[in-house]
Amino acid sequence: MKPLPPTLTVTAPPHAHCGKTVKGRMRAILIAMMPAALLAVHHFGMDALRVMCLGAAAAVVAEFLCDQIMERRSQVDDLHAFTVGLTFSFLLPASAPWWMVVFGSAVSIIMGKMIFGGLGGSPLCAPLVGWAVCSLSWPAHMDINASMLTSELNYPLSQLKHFGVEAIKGYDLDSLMVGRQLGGLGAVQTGALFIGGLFLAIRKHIKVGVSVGMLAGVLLTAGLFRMADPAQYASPMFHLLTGSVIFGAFFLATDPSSSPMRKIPAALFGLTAGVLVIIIRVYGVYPDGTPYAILLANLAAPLLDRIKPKPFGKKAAGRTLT
Amino acid sequence: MKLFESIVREGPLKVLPAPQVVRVPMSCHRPEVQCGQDVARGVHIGGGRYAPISGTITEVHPYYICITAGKEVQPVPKDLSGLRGDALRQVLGELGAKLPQGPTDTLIINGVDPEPGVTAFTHMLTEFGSVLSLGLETARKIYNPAKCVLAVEQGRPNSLNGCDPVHIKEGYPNGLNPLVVAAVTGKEAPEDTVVLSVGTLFELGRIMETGLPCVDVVLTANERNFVVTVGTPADTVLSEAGLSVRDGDTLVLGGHMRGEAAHSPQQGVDKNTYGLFVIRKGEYPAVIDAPCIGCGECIQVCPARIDPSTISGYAEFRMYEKCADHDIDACMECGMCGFFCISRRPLLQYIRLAKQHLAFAAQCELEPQREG
Repeated sequence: MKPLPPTLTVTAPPHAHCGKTVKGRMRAILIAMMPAALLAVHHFGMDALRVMCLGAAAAVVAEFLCDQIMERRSQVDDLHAFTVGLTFSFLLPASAPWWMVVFGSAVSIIMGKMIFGGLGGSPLCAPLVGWAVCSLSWPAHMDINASMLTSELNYPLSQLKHFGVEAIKGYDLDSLMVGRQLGGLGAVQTGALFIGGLFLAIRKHIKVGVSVGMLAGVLLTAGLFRMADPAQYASPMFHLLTGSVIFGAFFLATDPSSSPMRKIPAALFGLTAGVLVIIIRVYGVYPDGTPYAILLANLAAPLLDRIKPKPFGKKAAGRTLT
Repeated sequence: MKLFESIVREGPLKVLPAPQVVRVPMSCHRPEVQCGQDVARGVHIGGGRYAPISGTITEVHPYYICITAGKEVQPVPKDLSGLRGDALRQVLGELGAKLPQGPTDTLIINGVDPEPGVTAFTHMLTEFGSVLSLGLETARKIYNPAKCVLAVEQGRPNSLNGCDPVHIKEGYPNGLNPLVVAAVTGKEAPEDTVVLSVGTLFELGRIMETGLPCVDVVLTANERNFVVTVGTPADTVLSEAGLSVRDGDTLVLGGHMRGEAAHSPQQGVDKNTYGLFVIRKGEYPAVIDAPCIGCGECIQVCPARIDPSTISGYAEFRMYEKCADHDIDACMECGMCGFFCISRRPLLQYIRLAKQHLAFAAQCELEPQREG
């Protein structure tokens, strides 16, 4: 008998691919978060590990249940839900009660992702949705100072807010960088997160424009305030290394679906978020403005996305797109 | 696969003998021959395709016509001497070389290899100088250009008589026709410019030499270049090149970025097939029906500066007019968006689908609408 000719796979071009996949990107993001997670456990002990595990697990379970309800094949194995859960828990104080972690993480997935049809549909950064719901619903549990009274560390942003520049004299930038401060348990590990962010940027997993824009926005705005009155406003580097600015610039604002896609709009988006961070920190009621700054910038993203070059070979177009 | 590789092939091209059985690919065309009919080489068999060998038609399939070699019939060549301009263009069109309308100001010969891994075009420039010169002379007769330019990749010494060489930045997709025009003229999509690829010049040269349709094609397989007869089954070329296909592999006619996947190893090569590649099962992540995650990778690599993610989203939900609003017509189908899509969406396929629907819609609009 003659052997059968081989059965070929027929697909659409391009037949080659750069090799990057959603799962691979999520894995890279998780690797980038690892140093910060380890430092968080070092500083806050098993409490931090408890919050991170609960957050990630709740997000995965919530997404799986949503997929069941929506009657579609679950893609929870792409690690996105896990990443969202871990990102959300990075923003919480280590003392967060278990029910709030579970609830917030589930809300991040349900209200921040699945309600918009799953990965890629959300106009808002998913973990920040959960964070916003929790911080409005249980301000006492989310209040970092009040809930971390037993810790020997302090919350520099709260001290700045309530006692002015004099109160933060004791902080040197090195100790801020290694995370010797209070705040979101992972988000304050600024040095570790910066290394992770650089790793993502070099591997081209995030839109670098967003991160650069946001860091520039924070530094410029804080610099302007500082120049106006050094006795009243903190230094730009202090703002950069406290709260969740670094975490926001590399891990939250770069969320693919809620940030603009082209380079210039992405940089403007980052800049908007960065400027808003300082404005909220200086004039707002929240010590750390990063989450709300990014959420507000998210709302402006579709508008910024309208800044686009004219297509190849087209004369300047004067029409509107919907 | 590297998008930015620069390879030079040395040595003579290997000319494969005409095979005993050819399968001339056809689709959506009405065949003009029947099973059992004897045809001479160069006879029109339908859809602008010509019998590459003399023999008997043994199969008429919706996607190909199979000819088995038989008694050599001496074909009657057409006399092309003395023709000029549009008359020459039309006669060449009847011999299978479809050319854009002239006359033109600038004639650009695109000698950049069309896709990564393909070296057939550069190799033709070094090996087929006389045929290409004849082709160029013909093109000059048709277009009567004031200026003639040969575009080659940076660092290549290739030349063609009477053409000013212009160097194109290496790397895909810089060698695509619209981008070459922009690099040469400094204007995007200018009027009064005609681009012909080296492959087309080769076809013109061969037609002028023989007075018959061109039945040869130069292609790259396994890092070697071959001259093969149109319709030669792919596996003949593959075994000559030392390649083999296994179950689940993809056999690509053309290049990695824009080529067509063969349905069977027996499928014949077409006259515009410039490469033959085997992609192993599992070598790249498989195309899946996944939603866009909005990462923007496709937008940043698109040479047409359009938004493939939004366009593909609209095409997915059959909102083709919206695709037109987002300037789908600027797309040059390079495949860069699909190459970089981390969701592994079939972006180029969606764009082609939308383009086809828009073309159909435009056709329907042209017909006068009846009252009532």
